[in-house]
Amino acid sequence: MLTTLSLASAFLLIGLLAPILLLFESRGDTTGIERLIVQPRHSITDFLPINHAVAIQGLPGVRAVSHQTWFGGTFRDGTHSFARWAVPTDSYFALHPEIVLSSEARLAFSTTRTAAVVGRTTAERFGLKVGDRIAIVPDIWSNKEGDAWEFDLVGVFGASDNRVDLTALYLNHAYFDEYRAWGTGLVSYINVGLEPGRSAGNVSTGIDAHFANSADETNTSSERDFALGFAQQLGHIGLMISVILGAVLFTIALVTANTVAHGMRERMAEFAVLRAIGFRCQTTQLLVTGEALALVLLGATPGLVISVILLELGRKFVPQLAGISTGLDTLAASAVLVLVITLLTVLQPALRLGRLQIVDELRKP
Amino acid sequence: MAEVLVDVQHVVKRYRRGAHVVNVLNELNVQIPRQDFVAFMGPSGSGKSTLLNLIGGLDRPDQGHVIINGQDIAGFPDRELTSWRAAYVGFVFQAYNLMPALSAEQNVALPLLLTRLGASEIRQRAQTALEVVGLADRSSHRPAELSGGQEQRVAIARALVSDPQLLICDEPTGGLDRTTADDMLSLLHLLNRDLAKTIVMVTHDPKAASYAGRVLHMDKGLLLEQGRLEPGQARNGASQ
Repeated sequence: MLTTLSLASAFLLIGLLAPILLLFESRGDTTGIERLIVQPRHSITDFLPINHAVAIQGLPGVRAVSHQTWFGGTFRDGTHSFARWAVPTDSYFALHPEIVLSSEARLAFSTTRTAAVVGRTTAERFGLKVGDRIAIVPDIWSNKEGDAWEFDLVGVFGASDNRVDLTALYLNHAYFDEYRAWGTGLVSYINVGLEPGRSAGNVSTGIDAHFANSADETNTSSERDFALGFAQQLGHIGLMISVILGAVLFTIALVTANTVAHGMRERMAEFAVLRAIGFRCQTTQLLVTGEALALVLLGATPGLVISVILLELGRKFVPQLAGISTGLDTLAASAVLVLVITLLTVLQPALRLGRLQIVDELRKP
Repeated sequence: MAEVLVDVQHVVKRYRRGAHVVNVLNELNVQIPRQDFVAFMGPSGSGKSTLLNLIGGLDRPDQGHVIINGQDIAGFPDRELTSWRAAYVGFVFQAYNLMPALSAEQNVALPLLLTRLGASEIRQRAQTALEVVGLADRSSHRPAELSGGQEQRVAIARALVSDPQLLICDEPTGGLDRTTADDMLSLLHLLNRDLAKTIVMVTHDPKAASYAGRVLHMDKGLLLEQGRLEPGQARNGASQ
């Protein structure tokens, strides 16, 4: 029972960390990439001129362009953290069709200068509804009057896939750009949609080459690598997760091996009887392997199921988890780990069964 | 004399104990006819259990031949010896050695898992074997729910279920009280008489040996003397 619980805990951890590790492992892989993000080359605190977006639109392989600017600020008492972005009202949502916004809300967002739309999770968390007025005290972007910014909530958006941050708030960039006290014409990032079939690697290289040696050089990457780049600023996340998972696996393999070996020591006479009545050595080894596999699966299955549920729940409240989910790659990796742990566990018992002397075991009291 | 089923020829068996080599069996010769019920008696260390293991194919001699039904099993490779045991020998151990997690019927059915029989046929045969030993109504019970005598009956049913020619019984009544032991020995006697099983038994108990048709005494790895009881005499003697 304790071993099963240990295995369940270990596979819960694996189920939670493996998707993140696999995400880091896929860094640099541009297969299937449809969108790029262009950021200032030297620092994420720099900005890019909005004119870059116009220039990028004319480059080969580029289908559409939009941009976003980190707004920041303090909402209510400042203890509530969620992303706030100023975005162009039409192009941003056209480039991000996974953000689900009703046509009425989209129209209102385009036609209302002070418009804002918010993700479903934040709306539910703070009881926000269409028609509410939202006040945000600026920390980066003071407005021309030096007051708090005020926005009118015109819509609540949902998501058609798990990449969308449902805690985010989007503001009308035109209003923000016109009313901010400084930095007019500057944006944080430029979003680029690729033409179908175009290589993300080639297009991003082309963009960065276009602005090379200019005053505002760029660094272009896929959206996934962009997000991972943020996480990597904390340290070598992939390596840290690998080390944690390695330690967990090593420990759990030892615990399981000890349980199986202990159980087998107590039942050597049973195996001797099986051998005596005609079961082959390989058959008894297969029996032990089957038992060990069942034990590992008994712990691994609930652990993984709980991790899937926790990730689904976590994504609703932790925006950093957007895009992270238990995919087939995680399940395949878990299946391999189940087999590896099983094999490590039965190695010693199987060798012992191979050396079993029927007469000696039956003679023992 | 009836046809010989077991023919042990010039068998030597040695064990290493630390730096010493102990000769357990010294050039032993013994023949057991088909359908015989033989009891081996002797002090501890006389070599009777070693001989039983050699006849049952659980161990190999260092020298000599163990010829069963015309085949020298001492020369069989492991895989072949294992298959031979499954087909020709049933074992009854002093400690019963039932699988605690399995029911009586499942324990009895174990040897049949090595055959190509279907599940319903296996079940039917296991049930029949339990009927032979008088435990048909205990088929769903686990060993922990059975008495010692009942456990040993299940072990006998397991030994019988694949219809082997030879039953090897190592102190089959060692853990039983007198009455239960007598019941058990009567059952073995019936299996020998009515089902024509050849039974080779090792025992310390003269009363148990009296159920056998023949008692062979051993000491220091050698056969000392042989005594043959007439059919029926053994059973009469035992019931006195």
